[in-house]
Amino acid sequence: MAIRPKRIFAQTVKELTQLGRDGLSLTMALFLPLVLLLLFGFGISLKVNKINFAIQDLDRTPISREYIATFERTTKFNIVANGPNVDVPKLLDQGKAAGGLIIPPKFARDFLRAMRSSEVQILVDGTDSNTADIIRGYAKAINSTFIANQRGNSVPPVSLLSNLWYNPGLETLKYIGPGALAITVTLFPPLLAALATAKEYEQGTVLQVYASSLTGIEYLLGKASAFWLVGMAEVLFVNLEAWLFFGLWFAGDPTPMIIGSALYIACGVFWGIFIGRNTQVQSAAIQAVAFTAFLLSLQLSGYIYPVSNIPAAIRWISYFVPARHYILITRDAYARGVGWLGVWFPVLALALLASLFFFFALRKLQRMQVDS
Amino acid sequence: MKKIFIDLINKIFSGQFWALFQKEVAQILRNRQLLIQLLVPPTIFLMLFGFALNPKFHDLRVGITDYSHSSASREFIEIFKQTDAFVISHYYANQQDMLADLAKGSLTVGITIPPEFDYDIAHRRTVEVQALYDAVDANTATIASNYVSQLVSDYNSRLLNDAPQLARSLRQKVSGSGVLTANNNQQSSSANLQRQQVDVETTVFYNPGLEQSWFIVSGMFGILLTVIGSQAAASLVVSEKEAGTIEQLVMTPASDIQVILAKICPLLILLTIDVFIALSVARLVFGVPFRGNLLLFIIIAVLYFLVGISIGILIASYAKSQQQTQLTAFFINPPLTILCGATTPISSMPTFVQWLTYLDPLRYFVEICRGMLLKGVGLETLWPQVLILMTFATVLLTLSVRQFRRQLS
Repeated sequence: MAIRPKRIFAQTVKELTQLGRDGLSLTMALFLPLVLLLLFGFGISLKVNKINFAIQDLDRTPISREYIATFERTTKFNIVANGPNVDVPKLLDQGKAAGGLIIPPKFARDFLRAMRSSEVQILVDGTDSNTADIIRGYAKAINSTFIANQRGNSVPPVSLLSNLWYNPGLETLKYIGPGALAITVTLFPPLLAALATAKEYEQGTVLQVYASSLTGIEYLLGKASAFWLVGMAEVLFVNLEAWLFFGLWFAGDPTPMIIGSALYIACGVFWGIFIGRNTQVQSAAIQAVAFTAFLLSLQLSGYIYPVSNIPAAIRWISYFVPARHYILITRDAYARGVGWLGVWFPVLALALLASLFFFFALRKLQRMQVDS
Repeated sequence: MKKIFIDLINKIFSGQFWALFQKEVAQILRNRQLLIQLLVPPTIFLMLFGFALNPKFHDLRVGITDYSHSSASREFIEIFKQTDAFVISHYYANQQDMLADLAKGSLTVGITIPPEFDYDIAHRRTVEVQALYDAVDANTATIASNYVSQLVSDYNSRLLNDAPQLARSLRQKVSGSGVLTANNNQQSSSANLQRQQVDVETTVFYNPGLEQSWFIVSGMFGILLTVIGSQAAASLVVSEKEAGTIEQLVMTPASDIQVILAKICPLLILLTIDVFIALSVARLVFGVPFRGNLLLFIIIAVLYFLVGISIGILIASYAKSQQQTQLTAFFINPPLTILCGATTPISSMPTFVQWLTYLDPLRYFVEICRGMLLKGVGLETLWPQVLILMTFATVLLTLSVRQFRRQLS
């Protein structure tokens, strides 16, 4: 069974012509990713901005005011209410504050007395456990600062010299941006491929393919290369947009990113054709792609939270999600810049997955016969 | 006024409405695919999101280059074993190897302990320990550095508190002074320590165990109902269009409102079942509490379904085929779900995106879900959100009825 390039090419041209005629799908394929990228890049952010904080001061002494001032001096909190009559639990209920501090009466007296320590209460809204953890940490640190300031001595035995590498300003865009880029190009190549394949079965035009001398592998390669081209165009546009809006540019050798993208889009396209062949109905194909290609990528790729946060029992699934590997490549390309040494494994994994999906699709298409 | 209102209600829910209602129920029950689509995803989605979207950080990898090789430095390293947030992945002989691993991303933190560590600690001088973070993931780096600073400050205060005792025991050895003096010493030093001390007592509200999944799961309710509701409504209307039966609906003596309401009501019932499924999954699998008033929650949920369904009908009235509807839903649903604050807190978003979230009806429903499930508050706190949802429902429903009429003529 020889592969005839001329037929593959003809098949590709046919698919592209068909896609060009379908105005809605083409607009979607080229325009929606640009919208999605902005949404994923700007909308998903874990940066903890100023936390709304309420303070009830029942002591009202210079020392309690100094304690509050220590909270105000940090840039972490945005004090929304401060005074003796602030109802902290109510503000938490209404969601107007994410945390609160209650200074009890006699705070200053206890503070200055020997053999006694004064107590303050920190109330934290635990709905978002991540933010709650951060508030607790900040409050503890501010408390230590206050005590150290008041005592005015005590050399700490160990001082910590922290350096934040690759992203000293802790910009979330540097992390979320490359991830958003990967997620954005995840949806459309498989979706379009699945729709085109399912459409052939829905409308019965696949019978003409069966009747022709086209072999399964030629049919698959022809279809795949059409949508692969569209996908690569999408990658190009999305990268341009990321450069324009997020200021992302290659930090090092761009070849892993280019080869990785080619393999990643191939993964998506083969998977889409496989889905389209299996569902044979367009609406079902959309649902299946939305779930397997898009949602799984969104959830299991480590785009929002690191993969290591996923419980081990379902973490292994993530190895079969191409986006997980591709995100490592995009993050390296735009933030780390290590190059091949750092990302040879993800590229290899993408190559393996692409060939796996290729054989899935091929197995299904090879028969070239009407289902009995 | 009241009479007109009652007349209107009577007119809407007349015999024609019930006939149409029965038709819709029969149609839905016959549509196996739609039924599955309505009832299966809530379970799968909640589980997937609840387990996979986990903001809890554990096993952050720490690399250590210890140039000191002393018992003091080993004791310092012990602090990383106190929490399950960190796991020591490797000890390096020199910093270069550690930096290479940090660059590859196989470490989150690299700690370098200088050779003079034990000497400085013993002589009570401040020693500088270097912590290098891989900050590509800014969030993880922030959390990791918070953890490390906490651990180090705990270590410091432990060492500071121990130091007088250490000195004292040394002195005892040297001078061999009596028990009485030692006791005195101890009292004065502990008094000194106790002075100017503030204990922080932290109370975590609503989620005392800081269960990570509660945040995601309580937010997912709204996403599920929007996505499922809008898609189901859209596909019901469009299938009528595709089959050409929509003209027959126009021929019936029923008014447009009756036609639309008859389409909406069976969906409302199914979606209410969805709410119960989701609530049970949340309770049984994730242990999410329900602290509010169940009846009130259901009423508000139904109000919110109207929003989701109206979005679906609106999409359907513009689209010509199933495929177009679903593709358009891809335009509408991602913004709704990302901007609602269910997966990441709204307060983390850039300011201009935060403004956009006010246009997202789902945002208010997510606030209501969290309020009723976790906080146990009722209408007295949530009335603004309910009011806004009512406005959304009225506007969108009116729009969809009008658009429905327009496409018919």
